[in-house]
Order: sequence, then structure tokens, then C-alpha cells
Amino acid sequence: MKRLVSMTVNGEEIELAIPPYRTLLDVLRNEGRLTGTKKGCDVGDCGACTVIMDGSPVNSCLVLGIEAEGATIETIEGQHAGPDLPHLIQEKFMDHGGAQCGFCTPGIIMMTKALLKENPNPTESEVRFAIAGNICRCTGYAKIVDAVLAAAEDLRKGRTL
Amino acid sequence: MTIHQKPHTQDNLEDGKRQFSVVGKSVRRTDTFEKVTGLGKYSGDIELPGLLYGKMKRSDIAHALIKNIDVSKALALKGVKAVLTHRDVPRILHYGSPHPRSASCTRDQYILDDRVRYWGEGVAAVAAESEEIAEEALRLIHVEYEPLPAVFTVADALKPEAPLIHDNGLDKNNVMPPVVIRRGDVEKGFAEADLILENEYVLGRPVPGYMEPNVCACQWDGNGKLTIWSSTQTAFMVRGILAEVLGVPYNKVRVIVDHMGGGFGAKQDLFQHEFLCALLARQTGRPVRMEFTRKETFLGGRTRHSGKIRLKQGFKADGTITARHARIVLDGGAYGSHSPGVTTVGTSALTSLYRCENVDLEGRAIYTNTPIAGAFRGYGVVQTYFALDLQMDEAAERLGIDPAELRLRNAVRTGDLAPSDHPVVGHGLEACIRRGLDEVDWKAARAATAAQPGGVKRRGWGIGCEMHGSSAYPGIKEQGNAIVKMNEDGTVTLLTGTAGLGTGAHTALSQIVAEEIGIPFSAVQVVTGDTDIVPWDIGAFASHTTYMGGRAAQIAAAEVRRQVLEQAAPLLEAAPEKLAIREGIIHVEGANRSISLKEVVSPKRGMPAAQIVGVGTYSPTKSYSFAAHFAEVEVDTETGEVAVLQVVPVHDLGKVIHPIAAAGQIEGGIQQGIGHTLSEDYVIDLTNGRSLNPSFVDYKMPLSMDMPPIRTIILEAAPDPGGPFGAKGVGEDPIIAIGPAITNAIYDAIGIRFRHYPITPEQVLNALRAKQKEAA
Amino acid sequence: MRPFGFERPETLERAAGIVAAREDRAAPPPLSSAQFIAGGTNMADYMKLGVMRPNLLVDIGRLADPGLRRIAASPDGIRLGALVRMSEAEENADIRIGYPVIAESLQQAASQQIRNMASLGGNILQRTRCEYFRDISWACNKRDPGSGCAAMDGFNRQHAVLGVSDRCIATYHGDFAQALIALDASVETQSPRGGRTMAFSELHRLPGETPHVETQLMADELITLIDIPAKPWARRSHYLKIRDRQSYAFAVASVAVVLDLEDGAVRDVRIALGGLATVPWRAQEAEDELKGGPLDERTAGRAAEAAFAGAMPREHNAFKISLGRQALVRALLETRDMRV
Repeated sequence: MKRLVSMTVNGEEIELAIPPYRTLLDVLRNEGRLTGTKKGCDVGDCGACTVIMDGSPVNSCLVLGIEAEGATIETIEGQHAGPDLPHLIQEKFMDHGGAQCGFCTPGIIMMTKALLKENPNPTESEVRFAIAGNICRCTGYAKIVDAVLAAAEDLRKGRTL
Repeated sequence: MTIHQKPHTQDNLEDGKRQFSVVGKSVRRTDTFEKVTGLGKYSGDIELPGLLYGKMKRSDIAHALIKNIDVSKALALKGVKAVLTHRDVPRILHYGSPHPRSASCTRDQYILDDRVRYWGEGVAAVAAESEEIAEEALRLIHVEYEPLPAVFTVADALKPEAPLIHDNGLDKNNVMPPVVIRRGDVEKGFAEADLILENEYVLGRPVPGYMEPNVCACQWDGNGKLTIWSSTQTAFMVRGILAEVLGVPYNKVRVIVDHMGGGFGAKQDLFQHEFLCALLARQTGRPVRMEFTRKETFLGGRTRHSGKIRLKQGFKADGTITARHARIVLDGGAYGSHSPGVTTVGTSALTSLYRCENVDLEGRAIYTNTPIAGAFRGYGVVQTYFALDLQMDEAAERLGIDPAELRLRNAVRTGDLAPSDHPVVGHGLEACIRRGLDEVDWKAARAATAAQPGGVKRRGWGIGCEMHGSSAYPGIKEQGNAIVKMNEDGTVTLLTGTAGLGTGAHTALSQIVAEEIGIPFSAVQVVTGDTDIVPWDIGAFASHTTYMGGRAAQIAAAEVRRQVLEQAAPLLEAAPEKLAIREGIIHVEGANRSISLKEVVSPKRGMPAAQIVGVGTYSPTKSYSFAAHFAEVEVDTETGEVAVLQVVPVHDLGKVIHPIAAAGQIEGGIQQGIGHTLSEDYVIDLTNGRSLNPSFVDYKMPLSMDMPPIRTIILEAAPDPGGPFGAKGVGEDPIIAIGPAITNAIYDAIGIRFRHYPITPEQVLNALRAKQKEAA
Repeated sequence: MRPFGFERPETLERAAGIVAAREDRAAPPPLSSAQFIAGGTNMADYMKLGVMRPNLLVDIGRLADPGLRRIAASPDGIRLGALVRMSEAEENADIRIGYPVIAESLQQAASQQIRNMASLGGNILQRTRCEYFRDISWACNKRDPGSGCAAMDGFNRQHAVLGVSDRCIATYHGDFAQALIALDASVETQSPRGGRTMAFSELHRLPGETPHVETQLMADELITLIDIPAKPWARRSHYLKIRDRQSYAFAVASVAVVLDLEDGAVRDVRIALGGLATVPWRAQEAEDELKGGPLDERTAGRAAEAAFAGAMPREHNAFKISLGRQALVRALLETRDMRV
């Protein structure tokens, strides 16, 4: 029943034997041992499971693992450079209070990365629009928006994603 | 965000000129790197070799006896390792919420019973090799029910012919004896009134909506010791109840909570799956994880109490409140959980906020065959202050007094008796109102809304106020504990038992320790969330973590400082009281001599360093935080949509430890409060007790585009002598005042007084139409 | 999710052939034991809920045919391949400028993440969000034919007031489809029996006696292309969506309008309503009311009356009639006032 599926996750090519009915989210969390991607609803409503697949942010709970055959996947674990070396967006989330319970944070950071790649100079309403599929129940979004705008500002000053 | 600092005025507090080095600064949170990188482990992330997947079979009937459960087919399924029903688990009546033997909670639950009392109650559990097999096994379990009459509203539950949901010896379906509070002479008060208002307020049923579904993983070791990783706010309470029900000593249950994806109060309860997971793991000899689906967090989670409040107040022409009479009836759902606590706190809150000498209050909670109502941020006060603050607005209009002015005239003041029967400290409420009036230019703002020409979209400004206690006292005599250890290199380790819901409390506690000892924030490491390691803690709730846990940490840190100075004194040839520690350097005050803390505590030749350790224990009474919220709304009179345009929350927190974290609490509370007021309602089918919108699509919480700009203002107007450096709680306050502020703003916009939440677009449209008809 | 098999054929013909070869090939597509999957957003959701329980998935998401994922604008109109992602169409400059109603409808649908996955063909065929349909323990004629309809006397705030039958009142919840109705689009399909073209407004079927038969398609038939004619009115087109929150919410009422104005008079108009009906709903009576006359608050109001003349409310959704009227008036006037 299981099928061999290969994909590139955070720059590393991996091959996994997975049954067709397992979602990319479960594959990443279980077979891939990457638990940073969160399961908040499992039906595409909350965005906590957002990963970047072939350049586009998607809900990994709605992607079958086998559909990721050959795909390039970026997850939250692949963003920082090492201990104490956060990615620019992560640094801004830390400094601006963008993470409270942190459960939505990986998904929102991946969403932010995709946004800033497309649009390094977003307005506040563009930021709010981009993360409209990510539920945060802790922050009221204020500090998340602050963090995203601060990251964009640093991009304009020459820092890179 | 603005931090408005005023000199402290309390004699027993730090004097106002103190320069803080760590407290009051938004340092990088201790938990945040792990959160933004995905490296932090939540309870569902724990990797356990040989893990089995547990699932719960839930009832599809609201009230019934279980005549038979046939699990043979499920057991025969390949990959199924164990199935448990009520016949297989200890039958011990336990507290639904683990504040054992306190007045806040009831003891009315079994792990599994031979009877179900709400739709979605667990009736069996399986453990299997995969999630898919476990799900299939649930489908193969056949339950035969004998239906019982069921009631889905309080009104029905109180009828003479209503079924008895629990036989607790009280009046029919009452969860506990009524909460009765009488002061002064209400009759006399009403007789003296120039205006009497009496209204009924109807409260919806919001849910906490935390992002991390309930989850736990259990593993037993060879010595019969259980380790449970659980998403809980009350690790030690989970330990106690699990140990008692499982029949093992407390030291054979280890509860670990590392990161936690929110709880907002509801994760104080002990849920069925936590017992069942432990039992499945014991039976199979393998680790088992049980994780709720999102739907299960609705079905088997906890809601805020819905209900009705009948409020009657008398006013003199000058706005003085002469009498307050209230009858509060809350829907407790199928089990008691926090109903006694919520009802007590909500009812007693009506003794205060706005001064009134003559009060007659009665609160009740009633069992129904609906999902369990439990603890949720704002704990009864959301409900009662909604009623109180809406009626204040109405009274202001009838008396011809500006609504903010009426609140100022009646605002609770220092020395007044608080709901906890303690004197209030400081004029925090007044300070919040006045600051907000300036900030929004209230007079001009209200004049502008009053003068707006007719049109499709109409704007309004409203105000709401609140006060809320830090700590659950006097309902629970709480205690916070902390251990601070000095390491040989001058760094310290803080051990605290309080759970990290996501508020940043561990960071605040670390800041307090750094400040108290006089070392940099980076020199403090905090250890949390393991009942085998950290000192006992009652749990993270009641806005008390910084207030109580922080004070305990401060006491422990002060002891460490004392011991350090004692060791430093001979080295510096000065008395300990002449020494001060700043940035890890010990100075002799008034002399040019200093030594680094590291030098003092590091091992000397031929002499190992002695352990410097401080233990802090603190049993608080109570302090009150205050807030005034100002909201501007726009009502679309064609669609009924209400948009919140901006919110200005002004909070008095005594002393702010971490401004960004405190503001984050306020902004998040406002988000939930906006949802409660305008869009969130967990709908129950009143014919059969089923939930009708158990998803994040159909239960509508405000998202990024719904949230207005929030101009948070934090005051340090009324520091509390009981809190660390004067600090008070903030967790619950922000969700309370926003509802009345929005509802009162809607009145300002369209002249319609709603007395319920949530206020949906169709209700706005219907009310507008009715108003038009009346005018015509 | 229940276990199922998975095939990834190389060609469209092969994909259709796999389904055509199955015993239940004549079943209405939603009940077929073999299901096509492209973006998968709807299918994964329904399989998790147990609403759909295929034992074979046929993945068409990677079919090589370039026409399936192309957006081709020409003077004759615009052709959208069925596998074009919602987000690709939403961001396409030809669409944004020439057919704003499409971009607006897509932009207000679902979330960015879902739009990045979902195909246009799949979006058109998305099934209802009726809670009684989604929870398999309720009676539902659409999900389990003949089992009844729990929504009739249940909590039906979200349910349809137009196009209902005594078997089903489930709302069609999509957004994009309304734009296609208003733009007079057609769809091309392929099956082992060959290709056919049908007006988009003919694709969906009213629930009537058979709510489980949702479209004119057969189980082995695939939408390949959406064809939108270039008409003078396409630029003056607009989508208005009213919902309970500003994102990630299905329409309580939505309106797509395409308007051809000449000297202030309505030369032609096409109107589609969403969130209010069991299928993407063309409000032809409203169109007729407006044609040839001026467009102002009064005439728009008359059109709105006409649009809902046949509305059938249930206990909780009567407000949708007045809300729908208001939305229609507002959409018409906003479209009139567009600068094109």
C-alpha cells in the first residue's frame, strides 16, 4: 500500500514510504520528524500547517503526501541559520511580540516569507490580506503585523530573506 | 503603545525614583526562539518509540443510559491494541476541574460512565498502531443507548418535569447552592431612587478557540511510573487527580508541559482523554498519544457560560446608584466544572466597579444536557459586567449625564470594599477613564457622532469599564512557589511550576529575578513545566502568574541576593547592608570598591562553592487591575454589518514588567471580546443537543482583516503592595470591557440598545426595520 | 482518512478512461467510487470528514497538456485552463484589467494558501458547506440520497432561499462561479465519449428531486477549459460579497454584475447571486427589469424586488432576502459608478 515518495525538504532530498491517504502535514510531522509545522484544524481552516511548496504557501493538511512527489518544501525548521541565528522574519517576530502561544507562528512566518518574496514593500492592509488564512487567537494580530512590517523595512535596508 | 508612568505612592512599595534595569523593558522572551523556529516541543510533538494512537468514541445522543457496548469488532481489527469502556476503567467520582476540594469546582465526573449527559461525551477509547486504524475501530464500536429525556435550556432544566442530570441533593439541576450576596437595604435604596432601570441581558456561548487542540501522551516505565505530556494549565492538579484515580502515589506521576498552544482558562479542566490515555498506555505497555480533532475541541472542550441576567438599579438624579438587584442564571452544561467558581466571581463582581451600598445579588448555575461550560478568560465577569455597563449607559442617557461622566462619579475608589471583601488599592479605574477621555477626545468624538448626517454608514463611540482580580482568592487560597539557584559562574536558574500558556509569564518571572538580584536578564535561565523538577504550583489561571508567581520568584531572588551579599561582605570589608548589586557587580555604596558576583560565588582553591539557593513562597490575597475601553464602530444600515474602527484600551497594571507582552495580552483579549460581541456563538440544536458549528469556518473568530487598530495605553496608576514591584495581573481584564464598549458604541451610532451578545447583522437589520416602523 | 488507491495517469484520456472502466461509471459524479483530484483542497477535506469515501483517486493535477494550465487572452475573450490555480487567475493582469469581476471573486474566496492549490475546474465543482451535509451523522439527501434533509427544520441561517426544493436547501458557496455566470462563460469538457461545450449557467443542476446530482457532468467527464467571451461589458464588472467576517468566510449574500451602459441607460446587464441559492444563480428577472432603462436607486430597487420574487425562506434565513436585495442594489450602483 505504501509508496515511495521523494521530495526536497529544507534543501535536503528525502525519500519516504507513505500510504496515499496520509497528508503532507502528517508525513512531515511523523515520517519527517519535523514537528514545527502545526496541526490546528486539519481541514484547511486555520493555516497553522502552512508550508511553502514549490514557492507557494499551501495548507499541508490539504495536500496528500504523494502529491508532494518531486516537490520542494520549505518548513519552519529550515529558516534559521543555527542556534541563536534567527531568520530575519523570525527575529522580528521575537522582538515585536509576534509570538505568544506560538502555535500559529510557524504558519504565519512561512506565509510572511512568501509574501515578502513577492512584495518586499507591503502596506499594512496587504499584510493583513496575506495572513487572512492564518488564525491567531492570542495577539489580536497587532504585533504580528508590526513584525512583518519591520521585516519589510529591514529588507528595504538591504537585508535579505 | 504608551506606558504612562507615575511615581508610586504606596509607602511599602519601591520608591518612585527607583531606576529599573530589567523590569519594564521588553526583553526578548525566553520561549520565543523555540517558537519562531518550530524547535519548541508542544505536547503533541513528543517523539516516543512504539507510539500508539488513541481515539475516543463520543456519544451521538445527549442524554441516555448505555445499555450495551459491543467492542468485539473493534478489538478484532488488525492493529487495535486496546479498547476501554466504562466497564474497564476505575469508577471513581472526581473533580472535573482539578482544584481539589475547593469551592470553585464540582465533583461529578467519572472517567467513563454508564450514562451520557451531553452529545459528544466520551463513551469508549481505543489505542491502535495508526490513527487511521484507531478511527476505523471507533466506527466498529456499537453502543446501545436507552434514551433519557433531555433538556437543552436552563428554562427547561428548571421545569418540574425535567430530568435530573445529577443527583446532588440540591434543588433540581442546580449545580451548587445559589450564590447570595446582600449588603445594605435594597428596598430603601430603590425607594430613594429618582430613576429605576430593569433589564434582561442574554449571553451567548463563545468558546476559547485556542489554537492547539487538547493533546496528551502517556508512557509508563518499568517501575510503574507514569509520564504524561499534556497541554494543560494545571500540571500539578493533573498529577494529583490522575494519581488518586489511578491509585498510585503522587511521585509516580510526572506531568510535563513544555510549550503550550493556548488555553485561555479552559485547559484547567482535567479531560477524559487524559485519564484514558494513561489507562491505554498502562494496558498496552506502550506509549499512547491522544489528540483532539478541532471538532472535538468544540464537542468535548469547554465553553463560556451562556445565560441570562436580570439587572435592576436605582439612580439619583445626580447619578448616584442607590440600589442594585441582580438575578444571574448561567447554563453550566452537563457537568459542573467551574460553574461554582464562575458564578461566584461573576456575581460578586456586581458588588463593585460602580459604587453601590445596597446590593441584592443572586447567582445560579444550572445543569443542562449541553457541552460543558468551564473556565474561560473573564470567568463570569464578562457576563455580569456586560449587563452592568450596558445599563450604566442607558442610565446616563435617561439622567442626561455624559456616560463617561456617570462612570467617573460612581467609579470604585481606594478603600472601597472590593468583590473579594478587601479594600481596593488606588484610584485605578478613575485614572483609566480620564486618560482614555483625553486620548480619544471624548467630548469631540461624541459630538461628531451626534452631529453626523443621515446616511448608510453610521459611526458611534462607546465606553466600557472593568476591574478584575489577580488571583482566585478568596475562592481558592492560592500559593505560588519558586526556587532560585545561584550557579558557580554567577548565573542563576529559576525553577517555577507555572505553565507557559503563551503569555510570556516565564520571561516576566525571569525579569523579576534579574531585577531583584541585580544581574542582567541574560544571566537567568528559567526551568518550567516538569512536576518532577519544579516546585509545586497551583496552575496558570486567574491572572495571577506574574502577580503571585512573580512575587514568589522575587522573594526567592531576594534570599539569593541576601546570601550572596553575606558572602561578599567580608571580601569587600563592608557590612551586607552597605552593598548593592548592579549588572552582576557588587558595589560598596559610597566607596569605590567592588567585586564581581562571579568572583564571590565561584569555587575557591581548596573549597567548593556552597549552593546558594532561595525558596520563595507567596500566598496572595487579592489585587485588582482596572481598565476602560473606548471603541469606535461603524454600522452599515443596509447590511447590518458592524465594523469596529478603532479601540483605545487603557489599563492600570500597577507596574508593567514586560510592556510588549502586557500589550499583547490586551490586544489578544480585545480580539476575543470583539468576536464574543459580534460574531462568535457556539450554536446548539435545541431539539437534540448537537453542536451545529464545530469548526473554524462556522464558528467565526475575528481574523487579521477584522481587527481594528488598537492604541494600547498602560498606566501604572495604582501599584499593588502584594505584587512584585507593584505589578498586578492583566490576562483576563482586556476581554471584559470591550463588549460593553462596542455595544454602547452601536447605540451611539444607530440608537438601538442591544442587550445580548453576539449582535449579528440580521439582528441589526431587524432592529433597524422595527425602529423605522415605530417611527412611521 | 479512510484508505484508498491512487493513480496518476499521464494523459487526460487515460484519466477519464480509468473512471469509465469502473463498474459504477454511471453513478452521479459525487457518488462515484473513483474521484478525480487536482488541487485536492475540497477532496481532502471531504475525505477526512467521511463525506466522500472514494476507493480510488485519479490525480489529474500533473497532466502535461499545457492547455489545461494556460490563461490565454485574445480579442475574442479569455480562455482559462481547468488546472489554472485560483491564485494564478486572480493575479493575472489581463483578468484584473479586462474582467475585474473574476479577480474580485477569487480574491475574496478562501485563503491565500487554498487559492494557491485549488484549480479553477475544481473550484467550480466545490460542494456545499452545509453543516448537515458535512457531518455524516445527519440526514442529508445530497450525501446519502433518500435519507432526508436535516437542514429544513434545523439551523438554516446559511441556507439558500432561491432554487430550493423540498429535498435540499444547501447553498452553493463558491464565489468564482457567480463571475462566470455574469460573464456568460462556457465550459468545455472531455470524456471517453468525446468533448462537449456547455453554457456555464447550464452546468449546475437545481437540487429538485435529486440533490446528489449536482451538475450535468458524468463521473468520467472532466472540465478542461473555461471560455469567457470578450464583450464590451466585461470591464464594467464587479463582485460584491457580504459575509460574517472580512476573510475566510462564505458569502451570506454575494452579487456579480456585468453592465453595459450607454448614455446612462442599461444596454445589457447580467447578474448572478451567490450565497443565496442552491446553485450559481442567474437573476434573469432582475436583468429584464433593468434592460433599456436608466440605472438608479429606484430601478435597482425594482430589479432587486424581482430577483427575490420567488424566494423561499426557512426559519433562520429570511433575512437573506432583504440582505440580498440590498446587496444587489449596492452592487448595481457600484458597478455603474466604476471608472472603466
